[in-house]
Amino acid sequence: MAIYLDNNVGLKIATVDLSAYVTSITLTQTFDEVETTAMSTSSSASHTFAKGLESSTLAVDFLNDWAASQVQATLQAAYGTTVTALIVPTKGATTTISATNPLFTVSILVNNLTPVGAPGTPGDYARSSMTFTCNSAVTYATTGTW
Amino acid sequence: MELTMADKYPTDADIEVLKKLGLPVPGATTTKKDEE
Repeated sequence: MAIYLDNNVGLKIATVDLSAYVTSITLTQTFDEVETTAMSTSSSASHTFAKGLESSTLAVDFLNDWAASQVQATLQAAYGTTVTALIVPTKGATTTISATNPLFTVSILVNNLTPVGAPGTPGDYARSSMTFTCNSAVTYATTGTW
Repeated sequence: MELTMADKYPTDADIEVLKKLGLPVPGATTTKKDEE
């Protein structure tokens, strides 16, 4: 059994590699549960549900950098739009997508930013903490290109 | 219809972000006329 350190996750937003600024990342795959309980199923003494629409989220904490083409410029350029996010568990100098390093692809709606003020206290690193709503199902692939 | 990212990447919105950042767009070519 292999286990992995969680210190080398790769993240691209709109093809821009922002991995170096990520301090925490959580991709949560979830979907609506649609109730399908009907009269004929009442004998089972429970509600029944089926899979509805996917409603996943991507939560990311960034260290802020306002330099050209870096994290804040990229997020500001993407603000209010739906762009592509790519996530890999282990990013390397040459990242190979495989069964042990799958590629997660999803459209995210950049609907909130916290460019200033998270935490916004003296002595702390400037950072941003955001949760983006996913605008597509999360695609899981064991082949492809990072 | 389910949107799958495998259909097109980068998307038009991704390319718009790259243009705003002044970064090269994957697959774009520079013609001699553009350079002049």
